[in-house]
Amino acid sequence: MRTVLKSNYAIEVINLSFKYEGTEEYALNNVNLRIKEGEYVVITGPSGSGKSTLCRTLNGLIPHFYRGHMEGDIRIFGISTRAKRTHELARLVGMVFQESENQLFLSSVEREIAFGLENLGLPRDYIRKRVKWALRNFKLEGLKDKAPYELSGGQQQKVAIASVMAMSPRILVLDEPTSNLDPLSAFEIIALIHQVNKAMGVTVILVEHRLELALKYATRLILMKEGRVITDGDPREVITSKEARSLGIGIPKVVEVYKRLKEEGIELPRIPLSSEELALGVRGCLATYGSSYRG
Amino acid sequence: MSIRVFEGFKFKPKGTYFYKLDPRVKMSFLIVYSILTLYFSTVVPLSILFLFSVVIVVSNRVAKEWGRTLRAVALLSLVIFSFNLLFGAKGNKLNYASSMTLRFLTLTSFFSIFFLTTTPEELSEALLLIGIPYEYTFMFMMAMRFIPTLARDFQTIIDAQRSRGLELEKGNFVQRARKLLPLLIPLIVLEIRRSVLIAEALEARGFGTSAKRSTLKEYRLSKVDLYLLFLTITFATSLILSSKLPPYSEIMNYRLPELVP
Ligand SMILES: Nc1ncnc2c1ncn2[C@@H]1O[C@H](COP(=O)(O)OP(=O)(O)OP(=O)(O)O)[C@@H](O)[C@H]1O
Ligand SMILES: [Mg+2]
Repeated sequence: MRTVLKSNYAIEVINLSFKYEGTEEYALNNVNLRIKEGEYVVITGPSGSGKSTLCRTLNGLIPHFYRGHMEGDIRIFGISTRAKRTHELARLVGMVFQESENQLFLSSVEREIAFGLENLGLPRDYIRKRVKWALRNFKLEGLKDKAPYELSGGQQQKVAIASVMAMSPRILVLDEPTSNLDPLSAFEIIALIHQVNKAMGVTVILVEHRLELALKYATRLILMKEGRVITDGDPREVITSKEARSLGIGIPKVVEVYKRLKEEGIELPRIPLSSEELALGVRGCLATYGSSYRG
Repeated sequence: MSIRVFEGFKFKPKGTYFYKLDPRVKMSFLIVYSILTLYFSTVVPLSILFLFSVVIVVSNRVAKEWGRTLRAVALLSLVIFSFNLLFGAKGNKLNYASSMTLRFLTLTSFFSIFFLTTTPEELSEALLLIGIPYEYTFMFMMAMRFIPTLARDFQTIIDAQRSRGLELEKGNFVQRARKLLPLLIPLIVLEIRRSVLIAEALEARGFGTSAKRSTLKEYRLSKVDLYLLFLTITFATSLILSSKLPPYSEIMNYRLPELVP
């Protein structure tokens, strides 16, 4: 039972402001966003800038689960979240959280993946099919009968993603999914998210501090500060903007190298977002310089 | 105080036959053998029951975990034994004390088998199958699930306070317990915050729909279930019959000799 989709945009956030009950300040302040289906959006910003709050508005946790005062509107494929509860939106918007401890409830990976589908009351045959799909696609077949707490942190986040993806959402929202992980596991999770975006065509909204990992795949970067979106656009432009510098976010090393080379008079054709891109750019430059020396 | 005690609540599947049984069968197994253990009051049938439980433990490769539980109650059973030996009912005190202790150990053994091989979900699904509403069985399951988490959080708070100089080892039991009391406040704050995050994650996984919940697992009695049910019933009946009918009844009702004062 798919809802009929009425919009070109996967997500439309219109003049959105939100204040949690019992607080004085707005956690979100007149936010406007339009995100197309298939985009890979990375959101970053200092602590308390409203990233998690924005995520919660995307699947209806705000205003239905968290009380407070909300102005403006959010539409998911044209459907206003005011009219739909979180569980009704679960098949459109999946959400993965930072701590795996708080989002894995059952005693085997297989049951964990089935849990969301069971809650929706879907037929057993369908659940079985989806569980099989998720186990295969996320390479969890070998861990099917393991208890989630027997797994490593990286594997746990993988299970969390698989459990959400089993419900076949069109949008996947991840709120700092790698911040409790070691660098290697973080790398694997980011690669997995890329696979979800590329191979399954799912729109990804990723809140992340480790830009050197996440930006490689992003189609768009959003900076937030004090509940506002301060920059929003192409990752290469945003990451070299003065706002990015003033925010003190972790600008990837490769971008710093790029800037330094530019100061030295060597301009790479494109701002690199990964070491591969940097190497490629440098090689290109060397070839040009090499021929001019010889010339 | 160590959080190791709560490790027992973590379910670690071994894949042996007892794990695969229908939770209803396991529950009937537990009930039948608990009743039998309470029904007999002599050493021989209780020993048979205890040995029977050991066979199940060993054949399901849970001897290590089971041993931990039995070691935990070892002191208690010693107390039961001495108490009954000294102040027990009049008559044959040694026989009485031995059978009481054996009964306690056997009951512990059967309960331990049940909880070692049954996931909280299975238990809650078994309760669901006998008509208890999902809200309650789910609450029970979540409580089981978060006991180790709670214990770990408490340990974290204790360690944090200890590093600031709180001395928990000093003083007698009451003094030590009194020192733990103020640590409950940060624990409660922490767990309230955690519970909001859990509730949020549950909501995001579609929990709370009005739709009737479906289940991936289908509970149908398999051949192994039927074998075990059959075995349970025959074994129980033959134990009872043999305690009634001579010549077996003589051995079954054998009493240990009186202690010479
Ligand atoms: N449940 C809540 N109740 C009340 N206020 C909240 C709640 N959650 C967040 N806030 C407040 O809203 C503001 C934005 O917080 P939010 O958690 O969205 O920031 P964030 O960008 O996700 O930060 P971080 O990087 O630390 O996760 C903060 O001032 C915070 O104190
Ligand atoms: Mg946050």
